[in-house]
Amino acid sequence: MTRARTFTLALLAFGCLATSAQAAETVALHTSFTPNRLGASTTIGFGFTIGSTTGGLPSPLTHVDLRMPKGMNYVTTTLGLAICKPQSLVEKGLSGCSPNSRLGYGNAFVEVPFGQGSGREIPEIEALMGPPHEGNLVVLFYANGLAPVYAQIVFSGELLPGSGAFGGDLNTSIPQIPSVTNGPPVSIINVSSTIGPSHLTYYKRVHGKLVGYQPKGISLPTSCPRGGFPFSADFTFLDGSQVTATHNVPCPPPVHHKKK
Amino acid sequence: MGKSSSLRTPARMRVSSAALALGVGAAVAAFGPGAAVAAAPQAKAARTLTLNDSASLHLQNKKGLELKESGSAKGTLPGTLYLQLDVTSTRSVTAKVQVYPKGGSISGNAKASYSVAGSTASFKGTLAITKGTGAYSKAKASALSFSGTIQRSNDAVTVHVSGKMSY
Repeated sequence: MTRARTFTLALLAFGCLATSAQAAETVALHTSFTPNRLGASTTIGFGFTIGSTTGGLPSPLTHVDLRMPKGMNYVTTTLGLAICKPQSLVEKGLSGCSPNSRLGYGNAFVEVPFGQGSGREIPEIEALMGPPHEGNLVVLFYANGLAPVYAQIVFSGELLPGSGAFGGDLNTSIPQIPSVTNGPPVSIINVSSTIGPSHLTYYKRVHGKLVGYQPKGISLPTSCPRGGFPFSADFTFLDGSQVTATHNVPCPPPVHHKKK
Repeated sequence: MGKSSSLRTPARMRVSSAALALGVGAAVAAFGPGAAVAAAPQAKAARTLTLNDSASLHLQNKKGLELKESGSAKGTLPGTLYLQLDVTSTRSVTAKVQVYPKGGSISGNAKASYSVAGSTASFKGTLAITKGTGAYSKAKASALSFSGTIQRSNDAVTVHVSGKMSY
């Protein structure tokens, strides 16, 4: 064996070892429509579970780019009739914003980097309509953390026009949530959230009285593509790695009209 | 037989003569025998109009990504206005506009950017006139300013069109 060949083999072996030792993040994306009926106003459910190939803690999440199916009707929705200012949300929490700015809600599960099994739920994540950015719709997320992750965090996603099979692209930067003061950031393990009218009450004035009503959600397209409504998301992590996950919401069963 | 055959005009010549006779007849009918010089055909100079029209519209019909609205336009060309807005993406709309001023109608297509800010959505772009009837049968304009708002709670639309149109 020549010296060069030995060196090459050694390099390859080192490469394999390095690859097998390196942790990689895994992501499972879940999406849903409630109700799942063509042309109907719906609540979009989306969530993801992050794992690691080594079984350890995944690297903290820094960015999520969620692409939504084409043909969704963002025009006729009455969600987000009021705008919530991020500053008001930071200073006063949810009470700083009109209920008519709420778009959805959810929760998350995070793990602190000191010791496994020390996961904590962030029971309250609210999605609200933020001030538009360069004409794009902005979704504000408000996460209210409890012990040991005391943090009220506001971050935002911008709805960009989609391309190809996708009609919209919710581009969200995730801030790092400190585990303890000046400590390493927590790892997000699981998030689930909604955008839609389910469990939301808006208020309008009728004859001088405030009357509650349910806003109209984003409507589903009037036809379903073969294979279902496609969702796709790119997840970027603090270690620089990126994972793409996809999920399709199945087409609703055809509606049979009764013959008279 | 032979005589009659010598008097017969070839078919092509017969058509040409008929066309000529028709042409002369038409010219005489149109201008009169003595009016040929005075009424020589003149190209009408296109007139221009500076439009500045607004309308408050209400929803007629909503289907999928399409809003059909109607109302009264006020300004340079007052009349009933119909607007069909199609939202083509989260940031763009196309529209078909028909307005019925006195003496005719004008139709056009528009492309505009679209954005939502709380209770109001707005659009801004350009409108091209594609067709006219009656007094506006030669209506032409390629880049009229086209803008408006949509009240998201009830889909009420305001629309504003301005710029120069020839007709």
